[in-house]
Amino acid sequence: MVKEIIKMEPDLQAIKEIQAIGADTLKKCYQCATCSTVCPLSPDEAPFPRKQMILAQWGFKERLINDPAIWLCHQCGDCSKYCPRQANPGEVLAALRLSVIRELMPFKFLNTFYNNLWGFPILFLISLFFILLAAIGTFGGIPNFFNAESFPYGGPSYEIWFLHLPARILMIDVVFIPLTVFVIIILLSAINRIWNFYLDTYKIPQAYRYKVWSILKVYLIPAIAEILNHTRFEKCEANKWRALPHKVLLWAFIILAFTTAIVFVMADILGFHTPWHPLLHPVKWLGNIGGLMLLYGIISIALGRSRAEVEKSVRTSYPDSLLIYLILFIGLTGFGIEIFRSIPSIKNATSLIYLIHLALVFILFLGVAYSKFTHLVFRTTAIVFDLYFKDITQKMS
Amino acid sequence: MEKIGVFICTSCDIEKRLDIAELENIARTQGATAVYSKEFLCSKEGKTFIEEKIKENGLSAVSICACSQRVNYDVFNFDKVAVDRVSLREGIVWSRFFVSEGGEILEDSSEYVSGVSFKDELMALAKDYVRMSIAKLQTYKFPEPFKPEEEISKTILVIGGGVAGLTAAIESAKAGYEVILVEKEKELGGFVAKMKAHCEINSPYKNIVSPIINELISQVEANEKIKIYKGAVVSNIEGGPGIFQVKIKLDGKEEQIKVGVVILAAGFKPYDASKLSHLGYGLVKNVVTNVEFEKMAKEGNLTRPSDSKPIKSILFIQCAGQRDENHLPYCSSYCCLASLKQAKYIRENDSESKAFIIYDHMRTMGIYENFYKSLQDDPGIFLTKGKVVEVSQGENDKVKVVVEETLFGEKLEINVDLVVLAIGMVPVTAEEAVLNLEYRQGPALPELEIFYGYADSNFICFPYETRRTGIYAAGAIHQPMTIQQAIEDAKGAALKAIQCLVAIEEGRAVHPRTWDFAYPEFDLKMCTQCKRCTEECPFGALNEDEKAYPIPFITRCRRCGTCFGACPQRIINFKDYSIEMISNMIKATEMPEQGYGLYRLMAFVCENDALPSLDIAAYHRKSLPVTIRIIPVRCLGSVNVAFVKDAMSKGYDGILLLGCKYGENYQCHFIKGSELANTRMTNVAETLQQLALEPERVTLHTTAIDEIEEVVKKVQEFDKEIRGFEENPFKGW
Repeated sequence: MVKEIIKMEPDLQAIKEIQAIGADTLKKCYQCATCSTVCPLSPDEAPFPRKQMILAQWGFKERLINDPAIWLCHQCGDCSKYCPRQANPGEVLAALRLSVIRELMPFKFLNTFYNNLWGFPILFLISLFFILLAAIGTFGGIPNFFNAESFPYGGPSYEIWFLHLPARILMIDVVFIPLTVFVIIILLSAINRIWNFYLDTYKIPQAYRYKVWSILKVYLIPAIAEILNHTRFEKCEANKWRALPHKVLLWAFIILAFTTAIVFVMADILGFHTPWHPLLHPVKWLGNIGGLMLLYGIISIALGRSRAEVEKSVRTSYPDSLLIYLILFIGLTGFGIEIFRSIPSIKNATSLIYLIHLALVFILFLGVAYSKFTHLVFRTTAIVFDLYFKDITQKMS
Repeated sequence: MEKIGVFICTSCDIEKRLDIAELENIARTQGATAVYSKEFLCSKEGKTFIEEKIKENGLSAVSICACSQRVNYDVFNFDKVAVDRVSLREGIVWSRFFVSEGGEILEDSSEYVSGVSFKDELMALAKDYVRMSIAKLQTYKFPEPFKPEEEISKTILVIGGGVAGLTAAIESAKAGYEVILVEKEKELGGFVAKMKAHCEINSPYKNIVSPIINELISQVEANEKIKIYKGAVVSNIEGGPGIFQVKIKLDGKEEQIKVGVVILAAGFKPYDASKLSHLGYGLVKNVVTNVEFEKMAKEGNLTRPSDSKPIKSILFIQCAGQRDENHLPYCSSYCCLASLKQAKYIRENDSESKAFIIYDHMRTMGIYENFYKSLQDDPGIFLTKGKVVEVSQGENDKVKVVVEETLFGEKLEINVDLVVLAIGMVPVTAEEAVLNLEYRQGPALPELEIFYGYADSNFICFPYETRRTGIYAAGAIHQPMTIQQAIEDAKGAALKAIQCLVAIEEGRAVHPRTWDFAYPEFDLKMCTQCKRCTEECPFGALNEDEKAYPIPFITRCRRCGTCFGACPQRIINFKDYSIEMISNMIKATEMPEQGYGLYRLMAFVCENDALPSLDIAAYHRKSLPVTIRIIPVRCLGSVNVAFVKDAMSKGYDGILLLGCKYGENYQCHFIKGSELANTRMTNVAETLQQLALEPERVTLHTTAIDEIEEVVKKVQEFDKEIRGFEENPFKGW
């Protein structure tokens, strides 16, 4: 392979930004490559994270965006544990992932809000703003947030075309359907960009640049199977404990997404409206199981992290904490609604908890594009690319 | 010595394996005045016993037949009584066993060869050792301290007024010695005075500080014990430790002073950068050396030389003209630190500036890793391993640098305002003698080329010793080093200088035989002016007069006996070590008649490494051939061919010399001893051939102190080889 000369003009600002979001130890690396050697996931042909460390040290942002390796890292912490300089490559890669997310997404200010504690109240106000706006619109004025019969269980009902929508359902739809569409559009555009970057970086010949459909068919399915099984994650040594809670959490999200989809179809479209009986309805069963799994997963992760921090194999930066606590409080408020509304004496508190729950879900949904949560999309993309690249290299040789 | 007492220890297995009464008889027959045996001679009671017997019998010499001379030497030390040690324990009972072919150890009473039990051979060996010791003491004369005729000077001369020289001067003066400091330049301070800053010389070794040199200069200038010559050079040194006559040239006039010892701290010069045109020096604008950049920084001038625009980016090329066979082949050890420091200048001057360091290996010596770490943390410092392949003129007076083999795995192009070449140190001794010694072997320290011109030596355990006694190197003339190391080095050199003065005052050897009061004495009536002694002395202790007679400077002498070994006329002798003594020792041994069935071997073993390694082998109960007799010698260089001749004519079938390793990484404590012995034995081998004897009968082996298994194997193999030859025909003559 002919190597061209790269003109170096390190970006001091980029380095400082990466350092600010969890990679403060970045510069301590002296390139011994212990990390790449101990990493159970690093492939022999393109080992990481040694090279990513120096690229980041020199602020070589373009190179890092183009590099699927940073997504193949599952942050087991083996590298950080064995690093002789306490450069914490695992944390540096996590920060690099955040910086790539930032780089690829439009409306960078949103990203800034997600990466800083001071941004959280702003995010909360933004989500509250949209939800309240929708509530006022759909409930026909400001509902009473201290009375469950007024909010969410009051307000007018709407007959639109063949749909029969109570205010509380329409309120959700007018906020979350546009939000979901917005997030999906920007993510698809980012995936498209990153995929093309990968193709260019690895100089994939035109003949091997397959159509989207065949890529999805051939590589996405095994990638998803791998993700569902956590085969890569389970290779991690230093923080083996993380794979199981993370897997449980992933399955919890899948179950919750599934129940949400059923509810959407059954209630919003077909008109079988909630509340359904929490103990008798099978969808409710599934939802509750998902919720419990979510709580189990997220609490184990939080506890495991604090243990791992003591032995210095993991460090938790603000974006990590944000995601953990966001999920935790969504789980808690979700169950809170269920409990509060079924006990008549405290039923009226349901309104506020519901409002908070919706605001947090809003932040999480938007966070699919702007927080650590985005790894869901880019790691999948990188694994697909990894499978694709390995396959075609074999075919080409 | 007239009255010799023999004391035989019965402990440590000696009585178990040897017949003590028989040894006592032998001692008496050999001429001992008094013979005793007792258990635990090294105990308090044992020592008191010996002291009483010395008094009772008026003994002037004692032979302690017990353990090796390397142990308990502090116990067996008696006022004004000569002591010889017979190693019955390490030399016999712990190292000679009857090992069967199957490897098991047989009883001593077993038959060794027909009609001879192993015990007989063991006793023959022990008796030979006792006889040899008495013969030795009979020839022994009590050494007296050497006192030069003229008065001894205790002044310390320090050459060089840089950080090392100033420290050496201060430390010497603090210890109470008069110091003369000679500095070539008009001002004191040397290189450090030209710096803007340097790495701190104390914990935490993370920061840079203003040069400490002003503090040192004011201390030196305020010290009444230190006399300073600025703008002066040492034009000539003659004499020896304690009696050096030094000529100092100042303003065209020469002044003569007397000093006792010299500390050489003349420092280094930067490598000539005009030879580095391949890195753009002299060809491309805005390429400077680290020395030039330091000057710019000190002047507060952090701008591009071409157009005086501020430096926004800087690139350091490490190992410029270093670790390169075409330039300096070695690492100068300071440059990585210097570049990091200079990068810090730029970074502190402008927080948006960038500093690149292209290295082969980052080498920040010792705890200065802390400094490297702290600089690494700066986001504006960019480090990569790499090979600079091109330095050329870029746009807008920038310098374009192309780097290959980087840690990125790719070729990089970096455009910067200034390129700094991290050039190395060249010791002043590489280009001039500096010392200007009036020595027969030349004005400079010998063998400088091995150390690329540095005033270093290959003394593994004695880092300050040069090959000129009483002359100690310190600082960057000694080895490439940092300021902190130079300070340490200067303190060490000052201490060595003081030790030297004390030894000279007491009249004993300076190094390494610091206990030794004996010295070589020359009987010049028989001298044939062959010059071997003056040429071979590893320390240049001998000058020559116009007729080529040797002029010994005893205070320069280290008592290795190389001159003694070299002299064909045998006119050089020590009071406690002479040709006659060794000859008598050899003659005192008992040689079996022809056809006895067992051979006799003689080994001359160097006391410095070979003898200890045999002692350690004895502690591991490794077996040496029972037929071999060992005479410890101060250095193989002190083995005169006469020893070999005496042993051969006595009837010894083979002669083994065991000494230190020689060659490039020599371990000889006296530099050349084993090498010279090897040359001499080659000549002996020729003589043997003329006599129709196998040249292998005289063999030299080298060993390191830790090569225990190997040394035993070498001795065993030598024994086996000799057994393949006929008996020595001179036996019984």
